[in-house]
Amino acid sequence: MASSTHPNAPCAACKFLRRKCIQGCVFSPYFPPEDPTKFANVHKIFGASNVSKLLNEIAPHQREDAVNSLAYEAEARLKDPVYGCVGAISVLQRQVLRLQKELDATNADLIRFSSDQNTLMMPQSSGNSLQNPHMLPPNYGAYSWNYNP
Amino acid sequence: MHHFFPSFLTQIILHLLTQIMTLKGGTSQACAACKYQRKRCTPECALAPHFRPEQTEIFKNAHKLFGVRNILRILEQVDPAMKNEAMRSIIYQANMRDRSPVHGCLGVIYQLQYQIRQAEKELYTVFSQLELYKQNQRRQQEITLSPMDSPESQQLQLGMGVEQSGNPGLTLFQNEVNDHTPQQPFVPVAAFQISYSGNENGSDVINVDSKDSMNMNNVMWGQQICYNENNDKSQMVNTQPLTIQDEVTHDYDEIYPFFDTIDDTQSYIDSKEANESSSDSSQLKEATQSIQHVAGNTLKNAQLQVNKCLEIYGLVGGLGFGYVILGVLMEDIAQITVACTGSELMQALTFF
Repeated sequence: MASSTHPNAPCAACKFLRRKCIQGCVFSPYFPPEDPTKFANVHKIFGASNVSKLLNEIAPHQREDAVNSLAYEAEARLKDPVYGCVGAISVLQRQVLRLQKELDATNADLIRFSSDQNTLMMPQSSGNSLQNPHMLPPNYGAYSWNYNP
Repeated sequence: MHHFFPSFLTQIILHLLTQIMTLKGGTSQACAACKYQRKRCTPECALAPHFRPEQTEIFKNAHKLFGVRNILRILEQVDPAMKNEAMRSIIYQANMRDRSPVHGCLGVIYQLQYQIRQAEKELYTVFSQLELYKQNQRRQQEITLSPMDSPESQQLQLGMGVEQSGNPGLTLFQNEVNDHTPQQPFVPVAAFQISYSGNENGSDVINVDSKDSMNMNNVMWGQQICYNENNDKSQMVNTQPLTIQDEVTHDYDEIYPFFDTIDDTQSYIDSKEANESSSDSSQLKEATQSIQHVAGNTLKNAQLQVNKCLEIYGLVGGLGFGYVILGVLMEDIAQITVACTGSELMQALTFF
């Protein structure tokens, strides 16, 4: 996460902001100097101070995820100033609805087919009536070990 | 009357009334943005149309994530017609970040992608089950329409349900139909049970696989089902690889293309050296007995064995054995069961 080339090399944030990158810089673990675009995007959309406040409110082990999500949202907003990442969400939500409808329709078909199959099987299983005691008339119950009167 | 009510007093009263109305939430009340910033909300306030005075929490979230300056910058970049939409997305994004400070909107995206994967998985399973039902229905209709052809086609369908995995030695179709009861002709129920149990096995295979490989399996599964639909003497549902199944012949008499795909020559070569000293008649007898119990790929096995006999014993031995096989098969073809395990067949094969 930290810069691997030089221990005192400023992080991308401090480089961008043209300030000294101190030892406990909140940005340095997540904005390596090798990727200046990441911080540039985040700063352009959200602002460095907002990001810094956000990161300070989050536990250290979750900060990397938070930075990555902010970087994604910033990039999405730059590509689409109107909708940003919300455009992707709306596409996915429509897809979920479509799949759900398709699933409901297919499940209905399956139920219909399985009930048709059961209907077809019922007259053919009369030859094996011992296996289905409910098909037997009561006076033959004694001859079926499955039948419990 | 109005002489006792000077006009200047009227104006004062009207002005006071206007002030009271403004204080009590009239049309010129400060928007949530200006309220938050504790400044006067002018008619030209760009955020006033998007943040009603009571939406203080919503503005607070937006301000926390973006800041006023950044929001205004975004609004300036978009077309005036799209400003409302842009503001809605900004508010949504900020609310999601408030709900989930670590992941924000990305968390929503992950959740939706997961839901889509689950729905697709379920849809594939349901589709495959539906195809099986349709296939069974078609088969039952064919059986009721053409009863004379059904015994052989039934038996051959049962016999052809072989899993060709390309491993040395054949492994037969040994799915859940392991009841060793002899198959009766004209038994659509049995056929249905076999295919249904095969379906269960197939669906179990689908469910236990990983997500990505499951999708591939489901695609293959669907392709297998489509292939089976087009084949009148198609195989029962099984877990064969698609490439092998493509090479399965439609007519059981044309067995050469299918045999070319079987890769069990090594087992024959290995067992050949061990059994060269055995007598021909005892081997033939043993082979005959074992073949009577071989289900599934009986005809193909016979062809294989004839071929190997030709290699081992020459033309005379091969032809003689082939004649024996044909005789056995013609007598016993109606009583061949499906339930023969691969180990039994291997045992039979190792006699050569």
